[in-house]
Amino acid sequence: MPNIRRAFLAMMSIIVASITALTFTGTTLALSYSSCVEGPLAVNHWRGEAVTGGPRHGTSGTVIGRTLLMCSNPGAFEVDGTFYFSNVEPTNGSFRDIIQVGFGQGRSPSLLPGMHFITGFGRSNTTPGCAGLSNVDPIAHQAGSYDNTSHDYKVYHQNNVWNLLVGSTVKLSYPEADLCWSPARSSWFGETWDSGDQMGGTPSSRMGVTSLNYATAENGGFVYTSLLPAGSCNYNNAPPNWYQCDIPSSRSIELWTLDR
Amino acid sequence: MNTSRGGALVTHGRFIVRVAAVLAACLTAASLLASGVFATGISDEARACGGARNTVQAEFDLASGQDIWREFPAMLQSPELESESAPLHVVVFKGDVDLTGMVMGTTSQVPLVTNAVCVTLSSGQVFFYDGVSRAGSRFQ
Repeated sequence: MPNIRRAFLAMMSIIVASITALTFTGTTLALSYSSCVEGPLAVNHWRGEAVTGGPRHGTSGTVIGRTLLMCSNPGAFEVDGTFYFSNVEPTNGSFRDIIQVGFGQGRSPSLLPGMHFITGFGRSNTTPGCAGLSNVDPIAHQAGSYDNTSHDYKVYHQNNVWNLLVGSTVKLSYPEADLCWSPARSSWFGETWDSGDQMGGTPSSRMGVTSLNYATAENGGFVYTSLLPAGSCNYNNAPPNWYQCDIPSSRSIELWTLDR
Repeated sequence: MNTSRGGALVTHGRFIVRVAAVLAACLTAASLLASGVFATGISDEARACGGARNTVQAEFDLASGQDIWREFPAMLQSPELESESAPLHVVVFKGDVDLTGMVMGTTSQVPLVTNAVCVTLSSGQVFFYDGVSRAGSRFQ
């Protein structure tokens, strides 16, 4: 009988270990922050620069071709991702209120694998100007495979539509009536869905976002930012401190992840 | 006697192993289904809308954007659908919808939303609505 009990206990241990490993591989194998650690519960981390102070009808920034790397040792149920975006937002909005274009990749049941150009748009009926309109959530829209070359990522209010451009190619357009909130902030940021994902580049090869510029009127000309070169960017949600962003010049930022 | 007892032990051991294996397989399959890894029976549009990890109540096509108000008479305004004259695909979700791995932008903790409806235009553009009133709708 002790043998039977031992065999039973051993089998039960194996079962529990197997299920736990399948479910939380990312957590249990997290030996460093380059491992996936947040499992199926994605948490959005972002870091970058934002410019406010008036209406915004365009945001533009140039990024060289770069594969953004996701965390390693993903569990069976991992959700994670890494992205760059140029954005226009309100200053008094909810999480939904944004229009953006960029690139990146994610592990998720709703995303195709691999690097893609990505767009997003959202609005919330609780945001000033949006009463009576349906909530739209800014879900990731994959707008074609990424070509790993340098591009200008631009949101631009032009001739009664909001265009999302990669270079001169319009990836997606939204009639201006879709966007009910007041566009008042231009932002450029990196985003990850797991603290083990890499944001931007590495200490020795930072990801530069250059030629930051914005438009203050529909069809308006773009003006370059006049950022104060500083050790840190101003726009984030208190992400892990290994996500770094500096301002090397008045019209550029650099994003990178420590220890990569 | 000893041989007989040993045989019983082996039989018991095999039985336990079989039960354990079946148990493990069931639990694993259930977990994978719940996570969407093995989700089946939904369209590509529903997958892109997060259908693999949430409960799809119904999927159907409409001839134009304005037809959405036949299905959801109390839905708030949506300029992008009002102006859409081409066919579109609608995915209706039941219960809470987890937007993890879908929603971007400036939210730290991706929220659960309810009364969600995802619309894919013929251009491929996707609009994900939440808080859509079911009043007067066949979807309750």
